[in-house]
Amino acid sequence: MHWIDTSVVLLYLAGTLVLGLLLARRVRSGHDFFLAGRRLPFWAIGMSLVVTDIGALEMVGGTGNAYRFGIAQANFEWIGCVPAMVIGGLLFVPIYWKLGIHSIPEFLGRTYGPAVRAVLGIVAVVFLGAALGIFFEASAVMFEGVLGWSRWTSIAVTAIVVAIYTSGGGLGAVVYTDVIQCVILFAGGLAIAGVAMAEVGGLGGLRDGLAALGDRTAHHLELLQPDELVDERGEPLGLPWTGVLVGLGIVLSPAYWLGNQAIVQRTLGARDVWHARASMLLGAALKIVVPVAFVVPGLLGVVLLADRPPAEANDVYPILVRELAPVGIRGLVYAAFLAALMSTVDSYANSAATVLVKDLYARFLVRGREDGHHLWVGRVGSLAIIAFGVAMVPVVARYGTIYEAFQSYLSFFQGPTLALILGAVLWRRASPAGGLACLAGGIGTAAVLHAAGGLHYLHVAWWSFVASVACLVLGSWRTRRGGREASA
Amino acid sequence: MRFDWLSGLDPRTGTVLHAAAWAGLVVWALRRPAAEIFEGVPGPGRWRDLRWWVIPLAAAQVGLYFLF
Repeated sequence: MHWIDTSVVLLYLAGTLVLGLLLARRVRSGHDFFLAGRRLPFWAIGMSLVVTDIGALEMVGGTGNAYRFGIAQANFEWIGCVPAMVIGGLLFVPIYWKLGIHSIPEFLGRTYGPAVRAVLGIVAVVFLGAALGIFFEASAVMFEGVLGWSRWTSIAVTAIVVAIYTSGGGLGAVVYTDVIQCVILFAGGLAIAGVAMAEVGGLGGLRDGLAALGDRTAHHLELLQPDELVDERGEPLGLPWTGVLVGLGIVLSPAYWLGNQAIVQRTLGARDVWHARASMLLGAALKIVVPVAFVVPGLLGVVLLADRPPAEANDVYPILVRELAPVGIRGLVYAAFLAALMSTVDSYANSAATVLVKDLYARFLVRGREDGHHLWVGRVGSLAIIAFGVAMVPVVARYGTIYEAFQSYLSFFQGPTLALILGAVLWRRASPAGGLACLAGGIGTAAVLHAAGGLHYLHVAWWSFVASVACLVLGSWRTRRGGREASA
Repeated sequence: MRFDWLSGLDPRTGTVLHAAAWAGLVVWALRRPAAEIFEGVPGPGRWRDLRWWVIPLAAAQVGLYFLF
């Protein structure tokens, strides 16, 4: 790497660490650690929401998918985020904030009782912890190719820096360092998109270039693609538009933006209910811009690399950075890679620690301890979760398909989680028995459809959600509402 | 199961459905009570009325889906 690029990366790492350490000095209680003392402004939360959702994998993978399928990849940001964030900001987040809760399992426990809270708490901790291992491993492989760092160097740098400020500063440090990471991420992403766009000759050049490639790119500029696209094995190809609208738009996206602890927790730390609402709407506005930085380069790659296609679609972004970005800008993009990884890792570690302490440790294991004890357990829990993620790296590296399997199993919980949230907010008759039936029915339906095969996962998500709602209604219909939890 | 009854339709149908959903979302947002939207509002200024924030978001979204 050129010394200017190295300097940019080191400057970013040093700035993040110093800010995180300064914010750690403000943490004096569990309330400060888990909810940032409820002092966060909307602009910081909004930027944090966006970068928490974008990992280094999404930068490279999103561009790779755009190279393969076209601009339809932007559906994951537009239909997949914006509507759910608007509804979440105006309806759901104020309800969460006013209750003063720390987590989604805690919120659902108020309606569905301790069994549902415990199940969702354990799933959240296992998912968030295991996801760290996957992020570390996949990003390390990418950094090895892009930055030339050895696998364990990038894992060690990321894990140590994140562990220091996350265990010290809690949610406040996570959110404010995310602000730096958001600026770096957008600056780096938009810079490479701009350079590549100029190389192609603007939007007109992109359209002409794609048209010249014939059938292979016939649908690359269509956001909603035909359902009938299949690969040579007859499996659904790309993103069927019915799946995008019902599976992604109605199920997966709301389940993520209203029910993912790593997302929701920062809105719970807002300084008042207006800031909580506004943060989601600001995040939605930023989400509209994200595909310009991380989808459009994939389309540009189709034209720029037409005469020498890469072996893997995920190689497109690194190739564009290496070949097009001038010195300095390249360092900025490398810093953006690190920022994307760190902003996700710190959020997942902090959220897993919160659920571990508030929903499992303090609720079921050691009750009645003082706030200072919970602060200490939260700090140790953050470190333990990051250590668990690092320990998972060799497992992930050894079993290459674990990432796909993990994603599939995780999607089994999305339909039931959304049904539980909707029931808790919108239906007074929702009961603990209905909650358990909802979990069992939704997960079972997803597992059966997944095992049967031949159905796009977006359609699986929809039918799992339908089954979850049916089980919730049937299970709640003739059962009592007793067994709820009054508070944490 | 794969929505075959819809698959025969042109994907542009989805664009219209998407626009209709956003129209409903904007109407729903604008009809939220002012007392609810201004609850906890930290200071004066019309820009703090979050109901109006939804309109540019909707315009950008719907515009993009008609463009591509």
